Amino acid sequence: MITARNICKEYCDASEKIVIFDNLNFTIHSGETIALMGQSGAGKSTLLHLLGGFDKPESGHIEINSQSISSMSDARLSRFRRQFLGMVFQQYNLIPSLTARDNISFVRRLNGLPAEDEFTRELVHALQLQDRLDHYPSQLSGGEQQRVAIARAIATQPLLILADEPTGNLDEQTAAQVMTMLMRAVALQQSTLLLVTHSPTTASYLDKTWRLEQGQLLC
Amino acid sequence: MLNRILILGVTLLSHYRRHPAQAIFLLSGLSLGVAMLLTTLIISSAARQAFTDTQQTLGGQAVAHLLPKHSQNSLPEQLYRDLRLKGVSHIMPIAEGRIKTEKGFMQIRGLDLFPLLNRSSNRLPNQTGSEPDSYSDNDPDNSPDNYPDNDLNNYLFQFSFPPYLALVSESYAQLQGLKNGQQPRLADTSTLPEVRILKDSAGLGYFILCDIRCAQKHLGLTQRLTSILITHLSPTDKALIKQLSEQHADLVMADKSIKNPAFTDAFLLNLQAIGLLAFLVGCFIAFNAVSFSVLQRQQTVKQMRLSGATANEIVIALLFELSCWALLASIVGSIIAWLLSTLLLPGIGFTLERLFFNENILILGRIQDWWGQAITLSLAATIIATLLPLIRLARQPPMTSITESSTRPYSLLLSLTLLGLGSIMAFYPSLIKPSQWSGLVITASWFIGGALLVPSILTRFYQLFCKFKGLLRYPALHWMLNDSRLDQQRQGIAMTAFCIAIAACIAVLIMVSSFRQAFTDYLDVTLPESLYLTLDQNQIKDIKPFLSGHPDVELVYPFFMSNALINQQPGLVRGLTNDSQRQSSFILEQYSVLGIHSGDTVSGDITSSTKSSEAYNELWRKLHQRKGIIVNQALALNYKLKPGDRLSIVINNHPINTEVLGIYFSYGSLVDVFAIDQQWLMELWPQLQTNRLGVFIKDDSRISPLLTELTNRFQLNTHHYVLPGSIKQLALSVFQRTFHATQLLSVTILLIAAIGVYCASYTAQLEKQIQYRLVHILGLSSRKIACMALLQLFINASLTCMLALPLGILVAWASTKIVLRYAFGWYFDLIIDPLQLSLILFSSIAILLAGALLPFYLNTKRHSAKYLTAQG
Repeated sequence: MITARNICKEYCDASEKIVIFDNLNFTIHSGETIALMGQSGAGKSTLLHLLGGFDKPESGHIEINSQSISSMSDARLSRFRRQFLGMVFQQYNLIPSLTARDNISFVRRLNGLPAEDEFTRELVHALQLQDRLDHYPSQLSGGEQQRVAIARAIATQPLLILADEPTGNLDEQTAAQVMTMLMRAVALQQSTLLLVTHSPTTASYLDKTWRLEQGQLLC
Repeated sequence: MLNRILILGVTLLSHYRRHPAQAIFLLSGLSLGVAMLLTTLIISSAARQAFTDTQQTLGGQAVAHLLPKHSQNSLPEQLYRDLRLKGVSHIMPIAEGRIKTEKGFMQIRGLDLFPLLNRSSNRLPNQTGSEPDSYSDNDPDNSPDNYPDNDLNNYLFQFSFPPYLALVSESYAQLQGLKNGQQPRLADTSTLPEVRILKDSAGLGYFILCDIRCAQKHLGLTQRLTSILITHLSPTDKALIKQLSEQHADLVMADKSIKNPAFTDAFLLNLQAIGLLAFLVGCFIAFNAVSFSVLQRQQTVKQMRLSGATANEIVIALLFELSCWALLASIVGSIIAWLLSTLLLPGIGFTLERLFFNENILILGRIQDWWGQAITLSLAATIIATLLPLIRLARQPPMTSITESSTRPYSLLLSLTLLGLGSIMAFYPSLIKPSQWSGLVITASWFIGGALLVPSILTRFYQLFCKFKGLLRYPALHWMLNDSRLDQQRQGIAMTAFCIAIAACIAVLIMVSSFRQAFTDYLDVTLPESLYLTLDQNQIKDIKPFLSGHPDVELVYPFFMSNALINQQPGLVRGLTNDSQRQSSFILEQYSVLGIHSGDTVSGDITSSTKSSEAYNELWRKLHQRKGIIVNQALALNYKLKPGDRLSIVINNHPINTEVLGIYFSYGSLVDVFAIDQQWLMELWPQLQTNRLGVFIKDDSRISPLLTELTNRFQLNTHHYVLPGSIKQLALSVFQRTFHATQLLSVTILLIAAIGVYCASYTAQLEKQIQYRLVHILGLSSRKIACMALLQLFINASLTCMLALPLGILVAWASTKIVLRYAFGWYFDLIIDPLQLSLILFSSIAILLAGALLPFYLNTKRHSAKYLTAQG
């Protein structure tokens, strides 16, 4: 379960202070899949960053599985992320020097797990990547890269998956394929998914849709 | 169109406003490279100019000298007076020698300037008396306005009458610690006249110039001269001079073919090679900075092309940028070069005088003399470093990105070609014409070819390691090694520069150590005695028996050297007494590698070393049994001699055909000399006389009491004796000073290379932000990422050092054994000190890691998510 209490976040832009969140509160239960929508600049990505521990709020605290991530050191946060968190980006962000196989197994290996197991093999089949595993990112299409990124995010069977516009760079057909596969993979693991999107079609794949407007969540 | 180009140029340059670090790296690379090469060119040019002046003086104005006969050490002043009375007017008396001061020794030269006063003179006589009218009155540098205080004629008047004046150049005053108006105190408590310091351009050398009477007094040469300079010699004068001076002096014609001594040329060659290396390293730094700026500016260029700018307009705009960099680099480079030259010239000038007999002071030319060079070098550096990346940027089609095409296959091919070319030239000298240039081509081929191997070797290493399946258990390491494998395009260039710098440092270190050893050996060979006496025949008759019977003296021998014919050509013969002391001062080529100098066995393979020692002793036995001779390197080179060959010589009209037993090091001497058993020489030439005695003393601490005893008993002056120990010490200290300068230059190269690697690390860190932030988000802590980046740099640096070490040794070997041999016909052994080499390697790696710490630290402080979402 994820709980956020009294989250305040602001940015300084030149001489101006921009308030992103002012006393934001919410709870996400395990296994929920939620689409987060809102206008550009509403703070969707910032919320994802706060939940992933990449950014810190000015005040308030966030608990994931009863662990407060707001007060963790960099080393502990890193460990936490690799054990409990999966992340998917709009720009795929694969490691260019590693093959698809090594990209997928990278976080598993960081956790001391074997590079492959039955689950990852199933995952690779589910994402239809079995023929592309020995290719480098530069040799893959955008859709394939995003599927590799999804496989990497899910390969460690994380409790929480954060996806930041994962279909934003893909055409409609590929986006549908990727979303189908993402949902299949999430179901396989029963992870919690928070997905940022501008597309109502993409949002329709998930259980709930939350809107972020003027620093508040409209559930 | 001009307006459009200006807008494009300013827009492209505005990139550096946002990225000032790139501008700093680019400018520092270009400026440092230009400055270092320019410095060495200025120094070389000043040295060559000084030698040209020497040549003009000796060859052009002083047509001949009257020197004391071989068995005497001075001339009677009466000879000068007689010549003048007989109408020989173009002559000048000189009394010259060393005087002992409270702190050490100074060279003093006494002249009689009155013979010169009837001629126009704006400049004091230089060297052995260049004639004043040899200098142009129109040359502003030589005008009296440039001298401090009054007109030169005032000085001449004060100079020639008591209480006299001592004139000294700025450089010599600086080296001796003399101040204007000071009266230097001598060891015997007397004082020299008041010192007036003149500008270096006045033409004084490394000595104190004073009136002849003053010099005679301090040198103990009452009514005696050390030489007479002749500036014009008519046939009548020549006959008259020969007739009058027959008893006392030899007429020696000035050598018009005087050339830089081999040591000097070798020294200047090394200096320029160091400058060239620094130039290359600077270009690498600039190339690195420009390449990165090009990658970052491709979006801007794309937008320009989409907005209607043609490729040609962008090319012109980039040429405008290139010119700006060249101009800036020439200004900054010139300033640095001027500062460095000002710092280094006095020391190097003094060394050239002490070691290589150049008496003219090195003068930093006027800025307009080398401004052209600075501009040319800057332009060359800018073109080498920036042209290729900028052309790629300009030719980029509007809708595509620049892909970093791999140049590795070409660089590997080029590298192997250069290494092969160098090897063929080195090991098959018959295919080329051996010369200084061919030697340099060999060294440069090996050097550049070896350095270009670095990216390929690094890539191969990482490719090999990435194949190990076991690495998968260490994902961070696996990622780092894979990243390194792909990253050699950028890191490889930086590491090539680093390799060149370390190899240059190693080569300079080895060459300095080897030069030092060669120079020490040279001093040991030329000054093996504890005490050296120059006496007249009467004194020799008294002093030799006294010394022979003295309990502190191990050996006293007369030093014989005279003219002889070698294959019908003039040369010199030396006498060699049969004792190990004398033998040990001849370092023989065939035994020097084994370290055998005196017949002792050496460590290592006992059987072979014993055999070598026996052969060594047998050589000397044969020499003293009159079965052969030993020859110097110059003679061996001239006649292509090797041990075992036979040679025809004529000594005092006695023709002899004998065996060459060995070749001894002569350190660049151009004179053909051979040595034979002294008894044999005396038998062949019974009337041969000498005025020199060499003395070996059992215990060096007894030199001073013996000298006091000799001085008191036989009324000897300072010009009667020379203490080789103090000369060696002085020469070595001068040598050290110069090679400190050389080492300073080589360390500067290393620092420049470290800056280059820092730039590469900095740009690599910027380029890898996304990847680093990604692995951070995936669960690798910032500290671990920084450690991995440092480990990557450490592996790169270590592998580069491992390649630079043999490369540096190879270059030093090529320079000493091939370039010197091809250029000057002599060489010396390499001295490799593993401790010093280890120190260089470890300190290089440490400097590199220390330099990279800041970018790595800054990288860990970056905001992960911002990079991954905003830039993608």
